[in-house]
Amino acid sequence: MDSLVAHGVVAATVLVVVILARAAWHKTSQFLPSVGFAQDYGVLPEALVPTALRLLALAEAASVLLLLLPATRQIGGLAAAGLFLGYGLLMALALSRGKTRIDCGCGGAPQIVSGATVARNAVLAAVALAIAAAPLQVVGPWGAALGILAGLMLTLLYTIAETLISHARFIRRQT
Amino acid sequence: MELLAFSNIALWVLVLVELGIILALTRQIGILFERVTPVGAMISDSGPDIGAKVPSLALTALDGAALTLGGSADRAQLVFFLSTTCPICKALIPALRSIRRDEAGWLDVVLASDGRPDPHRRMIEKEGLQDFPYVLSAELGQTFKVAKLPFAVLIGADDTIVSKGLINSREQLESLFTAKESGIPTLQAAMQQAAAQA
Repeated sequence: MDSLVAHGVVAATVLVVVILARAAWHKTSQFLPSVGFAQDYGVLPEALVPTALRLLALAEAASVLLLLLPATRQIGGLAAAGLFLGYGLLMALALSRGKTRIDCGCGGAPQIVSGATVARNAVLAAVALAIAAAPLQVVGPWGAALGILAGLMLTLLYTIAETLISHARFIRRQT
Repeated sequence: MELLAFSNIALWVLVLVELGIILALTRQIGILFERVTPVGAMISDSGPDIGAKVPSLALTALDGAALTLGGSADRAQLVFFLSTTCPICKALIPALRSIRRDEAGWLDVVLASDGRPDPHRRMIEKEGLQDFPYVLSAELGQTFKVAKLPFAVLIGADDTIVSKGLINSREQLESLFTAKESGIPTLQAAMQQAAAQA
């Protein structure tokens, strides 16, 4: 039973690492569009947004590194959960202010901030918290390979869900 | 035990391949959505009809120059309705500029809005719109029943409305000219024509 948890943690870690790495990559490779997306949220004064984005991209990259090293995995899980929760709160704040037409700027398929993206972030935060809470255990090479495979499967599923969320903007426009 | 391992591996392969296929399909759905989105300007039913004569209005531009709607025998007019608070209007300014340059031989571009002049003067300065005739007239907006912005009306040299519509992108702006060149005013008319020929 314990080893099941350990393999599950590997799978979940792969998922979270891929998502955070992609978010950090998106923020650095498409810096100016990302600044635009972040300014649309209207939370920070516009002049501070570029600096804040650079810091966030750094925080994301740092969480990825922490998650990948076994010794710091739990801290990495907490950091990732903090990021997901923070982004989720920002989206909820933007929604509550009536900004229903802004791009989430999450990386991957373009998505409009909505209840679905907030729920998605809540789920991701829960996954990251579970990684932080799980006890440290050693999985063998086969166990690790299987865990990574399962993690890739989760990533594919996540990408599918995200693509479907990104279609919502078309569906809303036509009703 | 061997059978169990085999079936497990086979199922893994199946799941991963299927996920790949589902991902490809969801992406294709997105592409389909993008392809079927109408790109023509949205025509509103209110206001003067396409083909109708433009009511003659004597207007004064913000810089004091007199301006008549239609009225010139050999030039067409594109009246572009905008406001200082509409981000899409500002996003379309480069497109307006290039249209004004490319079609200078036959077309005048007029910007129109209403309200107090000060915010408009500020926008003209900020966006570098000094070259455009800029009219503030509530009457003009009411004549064309402009309800949503950005809105554009293309007035032909014979003072009739060639095309009009809500404009959200450069493509929609250009669709007004397509309407003039093809003689087909709307997407709906094109579809009816195709149906009649079939």
